[in-house]
Amino acid sequence: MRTISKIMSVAVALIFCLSVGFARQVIFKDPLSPRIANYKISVKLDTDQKMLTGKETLTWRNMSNDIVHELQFHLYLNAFKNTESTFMKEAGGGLRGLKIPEGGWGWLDVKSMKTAEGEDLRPRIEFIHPDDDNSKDQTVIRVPLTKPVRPKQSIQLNIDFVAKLPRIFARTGYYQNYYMVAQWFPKIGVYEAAGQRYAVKGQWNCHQFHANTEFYADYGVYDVDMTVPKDLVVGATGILQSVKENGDGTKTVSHHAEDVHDFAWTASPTYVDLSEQWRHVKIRVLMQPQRVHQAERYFQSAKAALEYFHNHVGLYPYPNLTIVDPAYGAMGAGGMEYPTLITAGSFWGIGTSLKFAELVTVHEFGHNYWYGLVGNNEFEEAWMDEGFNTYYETRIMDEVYGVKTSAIELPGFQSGDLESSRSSYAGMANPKIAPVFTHAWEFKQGGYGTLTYQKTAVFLTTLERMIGRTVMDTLMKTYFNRWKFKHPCARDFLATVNEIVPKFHGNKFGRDLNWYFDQVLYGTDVCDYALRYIANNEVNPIQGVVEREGKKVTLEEKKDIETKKLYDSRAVAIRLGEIKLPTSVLVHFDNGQEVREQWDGQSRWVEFKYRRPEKIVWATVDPDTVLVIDINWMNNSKTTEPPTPPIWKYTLKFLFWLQNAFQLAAILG
Amino acid sequence: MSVILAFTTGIKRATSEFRMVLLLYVVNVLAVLGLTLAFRSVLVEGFGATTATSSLMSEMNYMVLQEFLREHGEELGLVLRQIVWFSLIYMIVNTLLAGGILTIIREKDTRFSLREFFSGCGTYFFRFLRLFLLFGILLIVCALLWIFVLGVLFDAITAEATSEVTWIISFFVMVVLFLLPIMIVILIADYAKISTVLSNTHSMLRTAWRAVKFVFRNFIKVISLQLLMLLIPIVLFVIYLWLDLSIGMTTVGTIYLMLLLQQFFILTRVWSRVLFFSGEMELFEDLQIAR
Repeated sequence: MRTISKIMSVAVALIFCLSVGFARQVIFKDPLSPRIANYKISVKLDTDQKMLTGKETLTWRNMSNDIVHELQFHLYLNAFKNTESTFMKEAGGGLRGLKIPEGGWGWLDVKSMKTAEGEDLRPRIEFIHPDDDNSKDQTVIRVPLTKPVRPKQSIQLNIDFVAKLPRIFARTGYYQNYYMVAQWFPKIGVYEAAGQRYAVKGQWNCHQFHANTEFYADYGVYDVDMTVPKDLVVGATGILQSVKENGDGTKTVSHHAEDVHDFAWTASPTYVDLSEQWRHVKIRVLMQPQRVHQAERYFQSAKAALEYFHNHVGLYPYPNLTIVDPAYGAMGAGGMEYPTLITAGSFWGIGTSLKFAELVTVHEFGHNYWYGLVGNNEFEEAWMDEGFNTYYETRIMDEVYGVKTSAIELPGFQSGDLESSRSSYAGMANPKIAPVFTHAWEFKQGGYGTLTYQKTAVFLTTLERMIGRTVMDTLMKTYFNRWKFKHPCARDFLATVNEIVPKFHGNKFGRDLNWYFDQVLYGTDVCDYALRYIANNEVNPIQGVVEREGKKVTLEEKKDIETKKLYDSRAVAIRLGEIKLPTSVLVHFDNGQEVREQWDGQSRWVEFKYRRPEKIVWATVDPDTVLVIDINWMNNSKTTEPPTPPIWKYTLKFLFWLQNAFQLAAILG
Repeated sequence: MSVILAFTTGIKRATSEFRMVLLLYVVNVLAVLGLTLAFRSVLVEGFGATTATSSLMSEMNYMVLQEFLREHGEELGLVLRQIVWFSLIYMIVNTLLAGGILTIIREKDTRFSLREFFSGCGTYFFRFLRLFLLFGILLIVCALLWIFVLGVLFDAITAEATSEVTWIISFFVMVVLFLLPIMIVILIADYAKISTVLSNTHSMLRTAWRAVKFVFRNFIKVISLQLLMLLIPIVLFVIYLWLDLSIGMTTVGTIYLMLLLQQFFILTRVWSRVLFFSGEMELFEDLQIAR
């Protein structure tokens, strides 16, 4: 009896230890998100065929009060199946300047879909195209359920799938033996209950994959086992659980991630694996061997971004961040974000004079806050991710690397990140082409990139300069902390703005700032204030009969006329654009004195008049460059003393280089 | 030894003909003056009476540059497009002047005279023009063929490259390989002109062929002399760049200083042209005598 009892105790202890040992590591003691879509996936990579074979167990929770009769899934890889997909038609066969290589097609097939009870749902699958009339697009499926999912209930599905990875040109796929595996599994859409975002009634928000769109999904827990050839170095979302050699030349790498809405992974035999630590975050950089000397640029910029977001926005909760340096020939996989994993981009021989590596690291990391933690719908409101992120990217880059040098720093040529962003917007051939508030796939005439990224960053910077940095930071911190993991929309952000700004500024900007966003977000007009002219006219002394001490005196002789010269001076500012914003005009007189006039910016023009002994030398509208959104700063000022040295400087430079060019031509003569 | 002698003699000869160098410099300035003034007027129009440009003195202001190009890019483009035509005309003018340069260099012990110079220009102009057309066509044909060959080679090397290092190194090697035959064609053209002046021939085809034979028969010496002479303008250019970076054009005073330095550098470039002709003629005569 005693022996049996002993054996039982040991067995229980052993089972306990084994279960603890084999249990997935818990990252967060309490869930950070609702954990609606939870995945357990086992996938095997066939490096000869460039294919994935996967088994997925999805547990989806119906958090709404609706009875959900069907499920909808994204099959993103089918965008690369053939030229008939919506993506390929809209992209003209390419993305971000890269074309799909010959034979580089990809696809995703659901081989089997069964409920936990064993019901086969595969025959019920049908492709749908909610955004256009392209019946040949296969990036979205609906799966009608025989047994609907009741409110607050869950459904578990076992899905077998096969995927063919495309050759990398649009974020995901392979190049030779380099793999960047993203959007690779059947991914459930987001069911929005009535009142969530713009849903009037409960509905699936599951868009087709378009050329301009990115992604939108619910948060959950991911446990993914990736079986790959053992010589491949693997990086993935989440944290490493285990690596098991399978004895057949492969290994299985297991990762666990909590409170994320996507899972991406990468593999390559040539990665150089480097790590550094920032507070609670382990930063892992997977470098291409020929660029190992550039790794420090990634580490330094990632730490700068982590620190900045930590101080100005909120906590980055995850314990890890992986930065992937794409292989040469796979640069289409670069510059992309996934939860806790980003792809950057560097180039052998390109030094820190061109800060592309830093910029893309800061930018892609920033996405982990907006796309990642806040979870905007990148299909419908890309500006809330790309634009917010570009705004922070310009802030971080300019503050860390210099306002004038954060993008390019070459002898004789420098530019800052905010400068470049503003130039992109201000230099648009047609800045009125569409409002920023446009679904990503509906920028039919172009403008998606510049309006979503740069114009948004510019109008947020203008807002910041109007309300002040402290207020802006308070507003963004409030927005982030209130809405993380909750998929907010524009209305939610604006409500936060209208809540926070009056706390600091009262009614200075009116009852709310909707008038601002009506113009910059929902409208297409441009902002352009200009200093039209300045004029100084000498006041003619009075001649004729005047009353002095009750007597009439005739002033005609020079000696009678007041000798102190006075000037009637005018400065006229005009509004050339249709956006109306409050601004100021700074007027500078020849004795060094200055007067700052406020203008509400509403009328088409405003005139400031003075009668003084001094003349106006120059005047500037918006002297503090608060209105970053003003598309023309050159016309903001006028001076009566145009500076000629700059003209001579550049004229002589032109002369010199032209003489050199001609002398080179003379050799041929 | 003949290379060193040709080099040193070339330097002495070019330096002694300072008045000719000055004349050539003046031609260079006159050639670019029109375009420069047109460029200046675009700047005056563009910068206008704004205060934004005052920042351009101390730094390169990207915003001002961008807005200027956006608002006045068209006018600027109009001016820049004329550079092609003006440089073509300048090439023809230099074809004319080459006759004068070689005539003066040939007369080793006589003082420079404008009369003799322009007489030389006139005497050899049409012959040099034929050489210019002949070698121009040869240059274009060679360049196109060579670009095609190098392109095929480049694609073959980089098609399945696993690193951009392959691409970058291949690119630079291709550029050097491309420039090499271009340089040789230009060299042959120079020696053809020299041969024309020294032997006063009228058959340009025969002269060109003679120059080809000369260059390839004495390839090492010809290239060595060329590289030696090339060092001077390269070193001067590096010095100029260093001075430009160190001094800058940030005040009225430094603008004037840089103007002087820039024009001095252009003068040395013009002088280098005379040096090249002098050195090449010395080597040509030396090796022809030796034969």
